[in-house]
Amino acid sequence: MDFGILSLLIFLPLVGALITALVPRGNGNALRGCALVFGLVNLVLSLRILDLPMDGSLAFLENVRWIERFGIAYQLGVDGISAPLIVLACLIVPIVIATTKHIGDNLKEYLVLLLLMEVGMVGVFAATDIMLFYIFFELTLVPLYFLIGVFGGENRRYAAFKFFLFTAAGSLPMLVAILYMLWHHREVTGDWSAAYQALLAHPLPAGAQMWCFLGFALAFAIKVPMFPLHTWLPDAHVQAPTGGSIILAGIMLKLGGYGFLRFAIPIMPEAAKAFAPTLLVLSVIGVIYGSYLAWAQNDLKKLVACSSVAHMGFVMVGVFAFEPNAMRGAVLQMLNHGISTGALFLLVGAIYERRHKRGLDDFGGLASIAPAAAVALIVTSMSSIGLPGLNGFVGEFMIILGTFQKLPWIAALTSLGILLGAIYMLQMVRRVCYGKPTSEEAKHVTDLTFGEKLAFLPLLILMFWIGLAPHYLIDRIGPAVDLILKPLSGS
Amino acid sequence: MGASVLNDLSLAGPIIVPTLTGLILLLMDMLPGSKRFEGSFLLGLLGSALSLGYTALFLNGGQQGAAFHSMLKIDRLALLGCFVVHGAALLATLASKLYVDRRSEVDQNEYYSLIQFAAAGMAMLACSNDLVCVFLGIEILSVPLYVLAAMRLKSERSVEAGTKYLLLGAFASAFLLFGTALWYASSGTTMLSGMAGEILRLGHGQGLAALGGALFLIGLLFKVGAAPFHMWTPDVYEGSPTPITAFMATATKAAVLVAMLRAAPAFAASFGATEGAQLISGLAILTMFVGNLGALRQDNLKRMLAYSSIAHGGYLLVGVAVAIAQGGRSGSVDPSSAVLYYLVVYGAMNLGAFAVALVIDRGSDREKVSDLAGLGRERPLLAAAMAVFALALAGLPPTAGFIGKFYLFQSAVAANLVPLAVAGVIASVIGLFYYLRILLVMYSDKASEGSTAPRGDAMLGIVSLAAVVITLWLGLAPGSFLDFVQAS
Repeated sequence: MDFGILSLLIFLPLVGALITALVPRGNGNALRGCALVFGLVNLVLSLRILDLPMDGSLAFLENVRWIERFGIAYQLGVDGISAPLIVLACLIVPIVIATTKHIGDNLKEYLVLLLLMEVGMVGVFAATDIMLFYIFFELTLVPLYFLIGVFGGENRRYAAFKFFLFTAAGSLPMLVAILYMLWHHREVTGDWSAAYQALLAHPLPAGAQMWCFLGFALAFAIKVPMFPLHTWLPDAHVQAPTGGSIILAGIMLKLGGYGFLRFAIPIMPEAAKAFAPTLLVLSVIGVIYGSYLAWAQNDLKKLVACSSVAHMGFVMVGVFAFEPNAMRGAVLQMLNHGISTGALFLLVGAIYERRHKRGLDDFGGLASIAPAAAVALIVTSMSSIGLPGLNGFVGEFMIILGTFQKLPWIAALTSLGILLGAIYMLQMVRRVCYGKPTSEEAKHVTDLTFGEKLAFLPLLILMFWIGLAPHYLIDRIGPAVDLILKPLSGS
Repeated sequence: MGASVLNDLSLAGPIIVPTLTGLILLLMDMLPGSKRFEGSFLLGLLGSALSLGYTALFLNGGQQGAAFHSMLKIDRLALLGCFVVHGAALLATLASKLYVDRRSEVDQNEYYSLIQFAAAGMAMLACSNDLVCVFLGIEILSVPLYVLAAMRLKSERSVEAGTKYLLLGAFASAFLLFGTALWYASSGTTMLSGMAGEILRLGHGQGLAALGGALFLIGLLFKVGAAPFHMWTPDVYEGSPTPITAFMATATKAAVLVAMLRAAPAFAASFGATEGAQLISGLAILTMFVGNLGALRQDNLKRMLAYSSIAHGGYLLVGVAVAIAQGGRSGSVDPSSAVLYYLVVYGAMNLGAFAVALVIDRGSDREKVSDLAGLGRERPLLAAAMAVFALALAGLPPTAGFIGKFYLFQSAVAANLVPLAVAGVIASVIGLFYYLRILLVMYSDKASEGSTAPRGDAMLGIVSLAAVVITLWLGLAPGSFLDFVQAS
């Protein structure tokens, strides 16, 4: 068994974290440089895994026996759904490292935590053994808890607790469901196994599927987050440091959608079908309610956080419509949301660092005061709204198109979200970028620095690239999605 | 005959070695001017190391079998129990050095010899296959612990702890003894191995057997600190010298749980397998919740760890419930290996956490959770170790705490006790709160002005390091040790 590319992607950041921990504390640039080098090398390496087979099967497989007593193996593999998410994770971490500012004397811990986050995030998307997935799922939790709880705003403790409680409370029922699955597999075959393929081959009986699906759904719905389990998100986002917010929105929220696609739906197709109507309705409520919340916010960070609830609602509609185009759109939209919301948090963070204010009415006229920041904010908002030519449009369009063929009413209600999205985003842009500065200080906002522009650039390129040439990704996502939908169309 | 006695004595090594060490330590008092003799620490260490080595030798394919007319049963179950007990005694002795040196009122010879005697009693309990031996083991382990708890004569809390433990412990012993009598009456035997069969064969004394089993169970539950017999635990754990608290929490649990597993078929015969499993499940759930909910409100680190220890007793009872549900037959998951695995893991992570608590102590009984503040900056390695222990106690991967809980809950699911696994999981969520608080305080809070940096000694360093290694090793590569435990 050679040391595959996926293992490399998982463990290189761990090595980076250990080495960063050895760099002397006082030297901020050396610390940042060290972490950044590891992040960038990992990013370059990660591009290799986009070279996927076109039949949608899992590639770059690795399989090492680990805890044989329970059939747990170190099994990795990626397909068109997970590979782009891994690359996104590998992109976002160096961006966060590069833009890290105002962390104070605990910079070292901050960077180490970021690299540890990368270990968990790559691992969770690469794992094909369900226990390994669970272990990485939990592993992402602890560093993020610290990122929020130690480096966050004034109310960070509360936010960190709430985040951890929600996520952990969700993941433990999933553990019970996994335990039951493993035991069932043993009852049927006589062997312990937690491998994805093995669990696919031996579906649970219908009754047990319902309970196990509930366990999984709870964990993933909290992660997404789905209405009414979304309340931790605004708190976590507002209190988290900029980097924490970017990672949370950019990658962590995708874990929920990914978990549904990879594990919950294919392994428990009957239950997925049975629960789909409920989940669809909740997603639609999420879209509308999230948009409505975002509309009412005066705090920039909170606005973006609430818009996440709405956007992820979109994704979940696409997932549970069980229609090929909608599901392709959902996967693409997960990436889009990661890119544009990540970029939004990056910009909001940059603006906040200059004024230490982030109310919508604390600014005004940014377009003339800090043109680069304003342009970046406007383009990103357009991407988030779904302006044709940018990435958001492709994903949303595919979701609505696909859903409309099967569930016209759901599609109609969901598309209300696009309208609402335009309203809250445009009014945000209007109040921040146009008009007159609301105060004397608002006249003196420095523009984005060269480094910030450089960090923002890859996200900007991605917005246009996906918007103009989505085929590259859709060709990879498509076959993988078809494999997931196959067991659903059976009966 | 002579050969057979020798054979019996050699089999009983894990009990005899600590007893002899304890006696020698007491005799050292006769030496002139030996009150503060360095050698007592070293001798205690040597005794524990020898006992541990002896046990390990037996475990590694050495002698096993019944001794003293089958009153002792030296099998893998017993030996693994002894292994945890002697390992805990060794680490507790190491951890005691600094603590005892800083407190002149503690008599060193007595202190270290009592640890040896307690370990001997625990080993005996783990090996016992007879009701009389169980009682003897419980008493031999309890009396030294009563004294150890009250070892700090000038501390009111310590004396209170000892007195409370003695009074309630004596009460529990009475239950145990009465249970023993009734069990004997209903089965005609005191042998645990044959008791289940006899109870079922005679059949007429079902009510009697159930009553006997219940009283016997109460006695054992008291010693583990399981709800609703846990009331003494927080006070005694808080008041006792910290190394003793660590030793009590881990080693006593190991010994009593081995005895419970050994008695599981008899419990199953007395109560009925299903009813017995339900009873223990209920108690396990109660214990997990009482422990975890209680720990939430604590500001004192020792008291928090005391409640945490109650909660872990609850997790361990899950294994006992499964063993009773299986009624001595082997199922798809072997509950006793799950319990043994967890005992080893719990021993490591709990002793490690107490070792860190001893460093925080600074020789002046600083034992608040807030005294951990600033540890992340001042002692990064120690803080990292504490983080590992807290995450392991919380049951998060990739630590051994996760694998241990996974194994226990897996066995519950396999025995069709799914609600037990669900309750265990919910209780674990509650547990997360206070374990994570430890982490936040260490890394996020600044140390209060003017407080001296916490200092430990090399011994505490060794204890923490050993505990970290075990906790991570059994979490990342549990395979070989799982096989080792399973073979029992």
